[in-house]
Amino acid sequence: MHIPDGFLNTPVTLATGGISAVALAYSLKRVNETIKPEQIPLMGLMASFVFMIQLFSFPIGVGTSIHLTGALLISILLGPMVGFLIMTVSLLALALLFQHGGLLSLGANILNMAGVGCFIGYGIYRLIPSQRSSLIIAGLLSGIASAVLCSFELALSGMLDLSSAFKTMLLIYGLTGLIEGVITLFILEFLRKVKPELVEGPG
Amino acid sequence: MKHAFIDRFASLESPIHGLTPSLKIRLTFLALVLLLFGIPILTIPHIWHGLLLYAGLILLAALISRVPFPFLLTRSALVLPFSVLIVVVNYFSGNFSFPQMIETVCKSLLSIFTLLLLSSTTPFHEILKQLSRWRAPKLFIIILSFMYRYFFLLAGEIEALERAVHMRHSSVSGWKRILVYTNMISMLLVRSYERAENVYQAMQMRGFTGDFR
Repeated sequence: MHIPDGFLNTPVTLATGGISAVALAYSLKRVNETIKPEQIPLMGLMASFVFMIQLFSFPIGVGTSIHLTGALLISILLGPMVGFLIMTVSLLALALLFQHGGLLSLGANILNMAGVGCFIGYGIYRLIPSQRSSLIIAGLLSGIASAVLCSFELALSGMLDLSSAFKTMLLIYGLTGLIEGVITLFILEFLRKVKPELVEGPG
Repeated sequence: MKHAFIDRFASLESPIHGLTPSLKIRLTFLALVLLLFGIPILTIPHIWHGLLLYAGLILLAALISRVPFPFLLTRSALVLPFSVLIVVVNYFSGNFSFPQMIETVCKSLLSIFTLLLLSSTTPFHEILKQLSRWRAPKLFIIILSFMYRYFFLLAGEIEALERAVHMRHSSVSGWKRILVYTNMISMLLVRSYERAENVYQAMQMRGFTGDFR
């Protein structure tokens, strides 16, 4: 869920913007140190890819549709630092070109999607040895982490009554995260069959 | 294939399109800060006057820019599902009064309208050029421009994949559909990856040594 402009107050906007800016500066520094020349066009294309999968939502029945964030997938393929950079770039472009999420709320969206997916999700994925269960748990937990962050940002801005809406948020985000984990697993299995050298990257 | 599906009105000609990107980016940012944080504080007893004045000014700017209104309105309306959901939840939990509901929806609509006006009067590459003049990190700008360059090709790939899926699996439903969708995404990923390899080889042939700083 991309938070549009108009739902966060000044302190929350400044705080989330600040944290995201620091994280972005850090990931840029780290990536700049380790980047290989052939990764430059790859990062651009992967950013384009993330942009596309965030735009093309697919129906899951009962009138709702969801889309992946792609954070977990990209972090597994290219490492969490590059993943965070790519996610940030796509989120900026989504806000500027497709008005998915606002400009001033970009910091919050980066934190909720890129930060959670690339650092928390990927961290959990690395912790658990079995790939199948680790992906599903990582998806579920990063969904829940996103729900917690998003609810608190909205609640601190006076836009959400935690006591009544928190459970629903947890449920929706948890489910979305779970689906993201399962789909990421399917995608990795597919890649292993079709283009195995892609999966054996730094992840 | 739809080629210019992103900033297709950015190359029109109007006084607004003629402003420098630097001015437009600054104005947009200022307008958003004013709308979201300024107006609610400065015009506290008459927030409506502030919002109406803002709406009047931004609509005037949109009129001058000659970007088609139906496009601006339908695109801005994309925010409605989110904002209506949030205000309705707040209304029923007793957190919001009715005027607050309307005010919040208006603010989110106006801010998206403002952002839309920037992106449909300024070509994306001009925004990038301006950002790099403001010393945004090189790597960041490079990724953004690569991404922008390949949107159109990836959109074409998706269209082709969708057509192929439609021809072969049009009757598939439920869980199988997710599998089909997964395969589509994976295929898109493989194609993007292979394209990146080809692009890199082409760059190498033209003398790219990996030095972009």
